[in-house]
Order: sequence, then C-alpha cells, then structure tokens
Amino acid sequence: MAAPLTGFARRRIRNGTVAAAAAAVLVAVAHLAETTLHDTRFVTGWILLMLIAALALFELRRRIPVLPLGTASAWEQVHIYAGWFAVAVFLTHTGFGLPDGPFEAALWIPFVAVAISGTVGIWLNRVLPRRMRDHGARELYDRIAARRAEIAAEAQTLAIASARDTASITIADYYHKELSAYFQRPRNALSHLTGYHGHLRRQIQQIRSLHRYVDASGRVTLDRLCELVEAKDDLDYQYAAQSALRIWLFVHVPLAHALLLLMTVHAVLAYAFVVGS
Amino acid sequence: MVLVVVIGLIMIALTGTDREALLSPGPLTFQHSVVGGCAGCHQGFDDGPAGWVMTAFGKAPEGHGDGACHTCHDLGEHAELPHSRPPSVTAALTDAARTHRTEHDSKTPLEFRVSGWLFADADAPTSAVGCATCHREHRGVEAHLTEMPEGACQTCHTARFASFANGHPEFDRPLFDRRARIAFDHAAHLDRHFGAAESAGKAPETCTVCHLPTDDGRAMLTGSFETMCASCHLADIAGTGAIGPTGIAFLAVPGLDLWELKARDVDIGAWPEWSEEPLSPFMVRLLARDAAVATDLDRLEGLDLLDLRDAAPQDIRAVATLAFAVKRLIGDLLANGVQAAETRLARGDTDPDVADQAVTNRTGNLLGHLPMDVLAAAAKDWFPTLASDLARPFPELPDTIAGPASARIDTAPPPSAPDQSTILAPSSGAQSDILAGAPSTDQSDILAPVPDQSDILAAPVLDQSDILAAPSGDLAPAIGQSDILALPSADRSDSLAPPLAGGLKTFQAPKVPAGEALAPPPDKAPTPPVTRAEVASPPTRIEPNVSPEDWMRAGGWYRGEFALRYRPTGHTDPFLRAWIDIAAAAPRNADGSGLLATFDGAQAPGTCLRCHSIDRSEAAPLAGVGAVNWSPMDYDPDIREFVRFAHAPHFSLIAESGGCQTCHAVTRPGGTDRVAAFQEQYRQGDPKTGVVAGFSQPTVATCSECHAPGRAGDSCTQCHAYHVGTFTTPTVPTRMQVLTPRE
Repeated sequence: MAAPLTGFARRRIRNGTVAAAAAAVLVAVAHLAETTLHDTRFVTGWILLMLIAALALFELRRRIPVLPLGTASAWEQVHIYAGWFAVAVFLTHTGFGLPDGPFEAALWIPFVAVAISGTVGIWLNRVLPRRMRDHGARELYDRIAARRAEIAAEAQTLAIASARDTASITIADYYHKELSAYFQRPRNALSHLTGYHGHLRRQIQQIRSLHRYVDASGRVTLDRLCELVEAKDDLDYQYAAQSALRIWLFVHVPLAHALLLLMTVHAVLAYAFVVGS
Repeated sequence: MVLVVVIGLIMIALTGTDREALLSPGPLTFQHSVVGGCAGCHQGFDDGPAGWVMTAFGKAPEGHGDGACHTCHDLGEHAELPHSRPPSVTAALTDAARTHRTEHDSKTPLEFRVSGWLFADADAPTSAVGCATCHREHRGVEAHLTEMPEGACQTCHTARFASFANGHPEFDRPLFDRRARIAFDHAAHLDRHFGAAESAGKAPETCTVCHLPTDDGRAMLTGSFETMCASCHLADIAGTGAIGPTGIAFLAVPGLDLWELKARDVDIGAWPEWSEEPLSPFMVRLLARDAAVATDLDRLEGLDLLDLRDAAPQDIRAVATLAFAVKRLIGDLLANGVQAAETRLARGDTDPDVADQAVTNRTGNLLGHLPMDVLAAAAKDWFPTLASDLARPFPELPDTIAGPASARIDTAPPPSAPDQSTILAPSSGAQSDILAGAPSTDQSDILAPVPDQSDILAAPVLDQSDILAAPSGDLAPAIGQSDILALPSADRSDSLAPPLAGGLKTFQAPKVPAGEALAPPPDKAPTPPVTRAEVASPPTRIEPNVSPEDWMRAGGWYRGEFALRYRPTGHTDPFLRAWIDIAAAAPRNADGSGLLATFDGAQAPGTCLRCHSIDRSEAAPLAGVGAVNWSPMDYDPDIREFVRFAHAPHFSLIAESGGCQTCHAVTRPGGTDRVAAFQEQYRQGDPKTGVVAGFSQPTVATCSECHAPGRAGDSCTQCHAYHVGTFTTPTVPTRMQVLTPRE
C-alpha cells in the first residue's frame, strides 16, 4: 500500500498538472493556429511579456513583506509554476528554435539564463535547507566568519600546546602543513553543494593516521582536532549553502529585469517593423 | 548594475552604425539579400528609434502592408486577396467546392474541425492575406520562403482532409476544361486508321512521336502537322482527292442568262456569254462593301443566274446591278490594288477600328498575293471593254422591266445561242461573229470596235497587240501575240493563260489552211517556197503538258475559263487561313456564314476546318464571334494555374508500366455514340460544352502510390500553386547607349 501523499506532494502535483495542462493547451492551440496560417508570435509574445512582468512582481512582494498581498509561500508557488509556463510560452514563441540574429540572441540568452537560474534556485531552496539541518546547528550567515575564526584559534592553540607539552612536533607539523590553511577560509563549497563528503573523510583519516606517532595525550589532541575539522566542515557547509541561496538570486533577479527591458524593446521593434502579415 | 549595462548595450544597438546587423532578427534569404538593407522593406527604418516608437504606436505611416513586396512582385490588381483573384471568383470557387463536398459527404478531420472552431474567419474567401502570412523572412539564407506548414492550405478551403491519400478530392473533373483545339480523335486513329493497310509505315508507334515535353518539362506539346499528320493528310489540303476543280474560284465571272436580260431590254454591256461560274463567296464578301449592290445580294440568293426566265423584274434589276458591281470590283482592284481590297474587306468585323487594322495586315494574304498581271490578263479576257464600260455612266435601266416570259407576250423570238462553230466565221451581216472585223451597230458584240477605241480588242488597232484584231480585215495572226487568247506565237508573255487545248477551247481558232483566214498579211507573207526542213523548224514556245491546275500543283494562282482559281500551297496556307479567319469571325447567321460554309466539309478547299475548331464567344459584345484554333494548346510558362504538373520527372517511373496510358488511358466506350459525341463537340461554338477528351484522367490512388510522406511527398504546394495568373518574367530595362571608345 502506497504511503499517503504529503501536503507538499499533493500541492506539487496539483500545481504541476495545472502548469503542464496550460502549457499543453498553449502549444496545441499555437500549433493549430500556425497550421491555419495565423501568426501566433504577437499573441505568445504578449503572454510572455505579461508573464515575465508578473513574475517580477514576486521580487517586489519579497522586498515589501508587509504588503497584505497573500503569503510568501503562495507567491512562491505561483512564481514557480508560472515560470514553468513561461518556458513553454517562450518555446512556442521561438518555434522551439535557436536565435537567428544578434538581438534575438540577446533575448534568448537572458531568458534561458533566468530560467536556468530559477530552476537552480528552486532546487537550492528545496534541498539545501534540509541538508543544512544535517550539518550542525544553523549559524547566521553573518556569524559564520566569527565562528570559523574561533575554531581556527582553538585548533592553533591545540597544535602549539601539543608541541610544548609532549616534546613532539608531529601534531604541530601536521597542523602547519595541512590544517592551518583549512581553518583559515571556507573550503570545498562545490563539494558541499553537491553533497560530496570525501574531502572530510580524507581529512579525518589523515588525522587519525597520526595516532601511531603520538602518545595518549597526543591522541586526545588529535581527537579534538577531528572534532574541530568536522565543526569547520559544517560551517563551510552552512556558508556554501547560504551563499548559494543568496547568489542565485543575484543572477536570477537582475537578469529577469534585463530580460523585461529587452522584451519591451523587442515588442516596440516588432510592431514597428511588422510587414505584410 | 546589470540594468545599466543592458540599457547601455541597447542604446548602442539602437543608435550605432551597426544597428542593422545588431537588430536583424536573422539573415535574409539570398534572393532578398540585395533589397538594400532594412529600409528596403521597412520604409521607416531610417527614421531611427524615435520613429520606430511612433510607428509601433501607430503614429507614423510605416506601411504595415505589402507595398514593399509588390514593388518587385507584381501580382496584379488583387495581389493581397486569396489566390490573387477577385473576390467573386474565389466565392464562386468556394461555392462549387462546398457543393462538391456535400455531394461526396467527406468527413473533416478533427484537427481542422477544432481549428475551424477556434479560428473561424467568416471573411476568409475575400479577406486580404498578407505576404508574410506564408512567406516569413529572416530565417536564414537557405530558408524556403514558399515552404508551408502541413495543412496550412486547408485553412481557407472548404474541403479539408487528412492527407493526399486520405481524403483528397478525386480527380473527377475532366482532364481538360475545354475541347482540344485540334479535333483529333485518338481512339478512332488508334483503332481504325493507324491499323489500316494504307497507314503502314506512316502511323506513329509511340506517343512521343506527336507529343514532347516543353523545355521546363511541365506541359506536353503537340507536334507539328508536318511531323504528325502530313504523311496521311497532306493530299487532303492539296485537294488531290477532291471532286471537281482543285482550285478555289476566287474571282469569277458569274454566268448570267444574257438572252433573258436582252429579251427584257436590260443592257449590262459586254459580258462573257459562256460563263457558268457561280458568284464566289469571296466576291460576295468583296461586293458587300459596294452600297449599290449590297442589298441586291440578298435578293440574288437562291436565284439561278443562268436561267432568269421566271425571274421577277426586281430580280432582273438586281442581276443587272450585280453585273455592273462585278465590273466595278474588277476595275477597282485593277486600278487600286490592295487599297481597294482593304476598303472592301474592312466591313463586317465587330470593332471597326480593330477590324480595319486587322484586315489591312491581312490583305496580302486575303488576296493571296495575286499578281497584278494575272488579274489584268483575266480582266482583259473577260471584259475587253471594261475600261469603256466603267468610263460610261451607269446605264439607266428601263423604268419597267418586263416580267417573266410566261407572263408576257413575246414580240420577237428569243435570240438563239450562237453556233460555236461559226464564231470565228468571216464577217457577215448578222454581226453575230464575235471576231467580226467590221464595225457594227449592234453593240452586243463584245469584240466589235467602238468609237472611242478604248477597247483593247477593238479593231483595227495600230500596235498589233491584239491578235484577234485583223489589221486588214482578215484573221491574220498579229505580230505582238501578247493576248492570251492568241494562237501560239513566239511572244506568249502571259504564262497564266490556259492552254489552247484547255478551258478556252471556245475561242480556239479553227484549223484553217495556210493562206486562208489566218494567212499573214500580204506584205509579210513569205513568198519563197519553203523546204520541209524549214517547215519543221524548232518550236518557239514550250507548250505545257499539263493543265493549269496540275501545273500549279505546288499551289498558287491559275486561270480557268472564267475564274481565277487558287490552289492551297500546303498546310498553313496564308490565303485560306486569312479567309477562314474572316469567315469564322462573322457571327453565326451573319453574311459570313456563307463564306464559312465554303471551307466546311470533307470536300472543302484545304479541309482546314476538319481539324481546326472554331471557338465562339458567348459574352457580349463579341457574342457569336468566332476564332479559329490554328494551333494546338499553346503553353505559356508565364501562366500559373492552380494545378501544376511536371510531366518530365514522371517519365522514368512509368516507362516500365503503362507509359503515358498509366494516367491517360484512351477511352473507348462501346458503340458509335462516343464518335458521334466527339464530333458533336465541334459542331457548336462553345469550347467548354460537351467536352469529350478521349482520355481518362489520372486518379488519386495512382498518384498516391508515390506521393506519400517519406516518399515523393504529399504537400499541397507540390501540385498546387497559390498565386495564379499570368506572371511575366521581369526583364532589365537597359537603355541603349553608344559607348565612346577610349583613345
């Protein structure tokens, strides 16, 4: 017996079905119109322009949350599925083809970039928050640097203390060669975003491989360094995830605004130079 | 930041020197790549961004129409309408298609039913269709501007179907919408004539002997008469198998009942007594211009001019008028030549201006390029006193002409016919001898001398040119011997004169012993005795061994007794063609019908109309006016019709099957009805009534064997053209210039 659908799943299926149905109807009607010698480019062009403008309002709503215009979640749902529908309109408008001229390319590339960045944004917002919960306590983005500095300082202290107390430089030397740089700045951002953990395993294995060269106190120190490495890795994960969640918007939103501007110019040119149709 | 950059790039694109390249939505096809930049089609492009905005909002007169397209592509008055046709034509075609659709109960596919519901356009048959609706530019150099979306043509069409093989209307209309211009019964020739023994070695063995494709491979043209028909039908044109004279009597002296005229005191002047020629339809046509006789020609129809005994006085008056009209005609032709013919033939056509010009252009052919000498010699023979007759005032006919002999009391016995054996007898008191040398008071003798001496045959004469004139009162041969009626002499300049053994035997001088009637004058008579060798001296003149008719076997003019006759020179004889054109042009029941009957029938001169059909217009103002189809179908590559079919690409496909008859099977329904129907279609003037093509038309099933998706294709535009009409190939108007040579 299949597990009952969650509310999120039902919502996704419902919204996805509506968007897919709308896209299918649009493509079918456009096909019928084209085969009956009706020029759909102006209709689909206007639909696309209106859609992009409406989608841009989501950013406005996000920036002004106090406006009584519905919940952010509802806006987000509309934005996502209207965006998918806009892709269908775009493909219909362009005839599922590549651009032929420079100006068409200047329209095509931003739209594709906005669509891709939006899709990435959806994925980031769906996956990363859940993953962040699995990587330690969530730190505020602005405090990550300070927390990383605290960890780096403690690791440095442990390394210095190890050399001073045990007359062995094994731990201090390893810290100097490998861990010092690791604790200084965020690392392995791409691995964090893709869910790859090999770098952490290798780092832990290297530290644990030093146990044979140190005494009991030294092993305590190494265990602590392992904990600090894991803590630093969680911080890096937090940093990478939160950075991604911020950066994609810096791509998506300005490109969408630029696209809106280019589309407006395109509409004027289209009406100015339409001939004999 | 991004917006600032984008705005900057947009401004550069809109105002920069490379804006044409930057704003172009794509490359033009190579055909349009030389139109002169964006402004070549988009007239407002040079107005700049401000102008573009104004245009986009409808504030500037940037034409959204197809004016720029039509500067190069002249599609006629209705260029923007469907198929470049007037709305009424399209509406009529739509009605016909709707009726056809209803009769055949065809189902419209779901796709077209939905699109019809969504995009119904009630004005589709008559609303304008912009060029860019079908021809979309900026899709690349190699893009096909005429490529149409599948099924797009069915947008406006009443009959909609899924594909060519599934639902396309059957080719149930005749292959040709009109009868063939040349009446050629393929079935009859294939079944009867080509298999006949006399056709051995002459009949064509393949269709391509007679039909070859045009240079563009589209149409199949019919070959020439010489290559197709001459081997069997050339004799028909030459008339060698015809009954009666081979030549056509063009100018003739109509035979008249002179005795009856004389009995009724009607003097028509000199007139050949022995002519039995009818009044030729050509002369009727030439006389019709003569107002004095035009009305009398109708009266003379059906009247036997050689037997006027029962003719009414009005008929006699008409005959007399005709006689003088004939003299005037010949005199007019002698005096004015082609100009006279032009004047007389200018009548009868519908549009006088056009007709006059047309007749002028054809006068040479209408006269058969008749040499003046031939006519002069004939006139001299027929009407020796023609000049004096025409110089005189028209003789006053008696106020009252006696009625038929049966109704009047004869006061004198009718003149007896002259005894042919005595016409060359010496002068007698009866003056009935036409060669009598003494002046006579009886002017009925056409050869009698007249006081004014204008009669070239009058005696005596000084130039001795008239061999029939006896300078010393006897019948001695004259020296000049230029008269065609003269006995054989050294100077027989009139080559067209009939041989003495031929038609003019009436006037042949009887053989008389030397020294008698035909003895030379005393001062020229040889006195010394002649030897036998001298008597058998070489002849000074070559006598033709054949009759004039046979002499002109190759065609041309020859003279019968009382008629100038013309033998066709072969196919496309200009004389026959010109006269048949005039005869056919006359509406039915007009005076040209009689002339047309001359050329109609199996025994008609040239038998032209056995094959060349006549189309008669049904619409005013040319209703009934006919035009002869001298040529078979004339293929004009500039004419584009709805259906286009290229024969040449299909040859290799049908070579191994049924050949041409794969699509064009000769139809042979049983019985004689088909033959009768085939002939009947040419008995009326409308070329589109009762058409019997003689061939079956190809079927959709035959074509769809190859024309299917993935094979030869089945798109509409493969066989159908959208723009129909006549589109001439544009030429370059290069002004001639004389280039100055460089030093």
